[in-house]
Amino acid sequence: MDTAIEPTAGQNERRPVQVTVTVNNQPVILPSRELTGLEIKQAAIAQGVPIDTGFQLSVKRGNGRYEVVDDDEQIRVHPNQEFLAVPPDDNS
Amino acid sequence: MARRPVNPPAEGWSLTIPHRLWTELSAHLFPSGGGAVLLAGHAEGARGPRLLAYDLITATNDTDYIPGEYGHRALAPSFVRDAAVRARDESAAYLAVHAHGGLDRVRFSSVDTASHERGYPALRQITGQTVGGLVLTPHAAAGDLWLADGSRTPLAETVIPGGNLLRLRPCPATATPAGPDHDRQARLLGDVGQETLNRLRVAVVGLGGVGSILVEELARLGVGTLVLIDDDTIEATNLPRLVAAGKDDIGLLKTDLAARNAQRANPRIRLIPKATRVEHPEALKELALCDWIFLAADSASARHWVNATVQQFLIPAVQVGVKIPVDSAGYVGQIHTATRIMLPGDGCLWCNRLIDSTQLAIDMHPKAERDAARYVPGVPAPSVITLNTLAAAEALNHFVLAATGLHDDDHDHAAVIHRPRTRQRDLQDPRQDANCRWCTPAGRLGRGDSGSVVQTATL
Ligand SMILES: [Zn+2]
Ligand SMILES: [Zn+2]
Repeated sequence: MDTAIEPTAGQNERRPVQVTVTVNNQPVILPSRELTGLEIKQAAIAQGVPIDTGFQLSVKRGNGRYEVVDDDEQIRVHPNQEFLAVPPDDNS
Repeated sequence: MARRPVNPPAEGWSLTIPHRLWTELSAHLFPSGGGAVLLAGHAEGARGPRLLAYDLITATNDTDYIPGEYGHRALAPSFVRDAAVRARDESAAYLAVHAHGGLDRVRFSSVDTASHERGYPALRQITGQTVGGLVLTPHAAAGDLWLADGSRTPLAETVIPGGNLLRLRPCPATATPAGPDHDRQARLLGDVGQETLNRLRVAVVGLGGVGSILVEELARLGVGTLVLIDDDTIEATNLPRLVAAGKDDIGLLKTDLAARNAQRANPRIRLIPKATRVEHPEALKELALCDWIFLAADSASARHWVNATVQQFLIPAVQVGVKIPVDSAGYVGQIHTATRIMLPGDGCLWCNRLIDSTQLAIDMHPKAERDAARYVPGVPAPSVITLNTLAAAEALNHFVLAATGLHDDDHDHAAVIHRPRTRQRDLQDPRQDANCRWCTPAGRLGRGDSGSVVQTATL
């Protein structure tokens, strides 16, 4: 939109959001409320959680059960939400 | 099947698997090659930390156990996650298990190791517990443990207390030749069998008529460490039944006499005498560090505490008893001796109605109150050394053959009931209550240090 008035901070502009969740019990700060499974794993990796992007991500639901979040699946996160990321355990 | 290697106890981390779980796990892994996770409690041991397996989660082929991304097969991520969540919620160690071909030797492949390095740091963070991998053949086991403190260590041995006391290692132990003293015995037991006895830590609870014989023979067999538990002193009426006791010993602690006899039988023996009742925390602490327990005390409390230790710490035991029914008119009933093998994860003394809860409640009170609570003043029960010998010999032979892997059947652990008046000898299989709070995964089985026996034994 084209207006003469610059929007003032704190009004129309989206304030940068930070949501702290846990991935494998480690605090991870996410830059947005809406992220994909892959973006959550990437944020965790960048913050030192020992996983890789091939791990399977799950989110803990209100009923205490874990539900898989696919790499391209967008989910809405909330503070203190709990995620687990595990690999398959390959053997030969 | 080819004869299995006999491995003396090893120093370092060990895993104990109750024989029923081992049977279930073996059927799942051999020969088809499935995957599974074991959940395990923790305890200290005489030779290093112990993991105590109490439950097995088998992976269903094709859904939980799938073609691998890098390896041949893989535990599916959702299966790994759910097992890890259980380990976290139950404060248990998580051990992923699979099998390799071969028999007496086993080691992880590079794919196995790479998978551990990729995944176990995360599983350790999720569970806050020890996590690791275990690879098995029917005769060998290797483990790679990632400890909660951040370190990583191999598993020294996997112990299966069944009819035989199996010990699996990555490769068979090499024998140290037995000394000339035990040459004749080692001709049966083998040098590794003799070395096994020397490295074992065995407890005798109750040092009266039966216990006295047990101590003498265990020391002469070459058992390396004996824990001796009894708070009683010697009375004149005990002398006919106590090995090498004399009049001067009246008033002496039974632990002192037992220690003297053991020392004379084997000057190199290590002795840990505890002149207390078995439920004393010091005695319980020593019991929990043993490889085997002989229960030769007949009180309900001794039965209860040893039973609890067997199940919570996965330590095999043998209960030895002699029953001589003689009524006030002098009528002699059916005399019998009982030698009951108590295996972790199997029908326990509670399941077999062998602990009287009323008697136990009385036993748990101070001595003066105990005496007052008994309706009939204590008439001494009959006791005869030859009958004690019969029961003790059965228990000792079972122990020697089990420790050196010489029983024909790895899992046969029936009790032996001997009736000398009719010269009958019968085998009796134990029964198990499905939800026993001692001998099933629903109870204290394998929970080790996560709650002491003392705290959890509220009646
Ligand atoms: Zn392998
Ligand atoms: Zn039971």
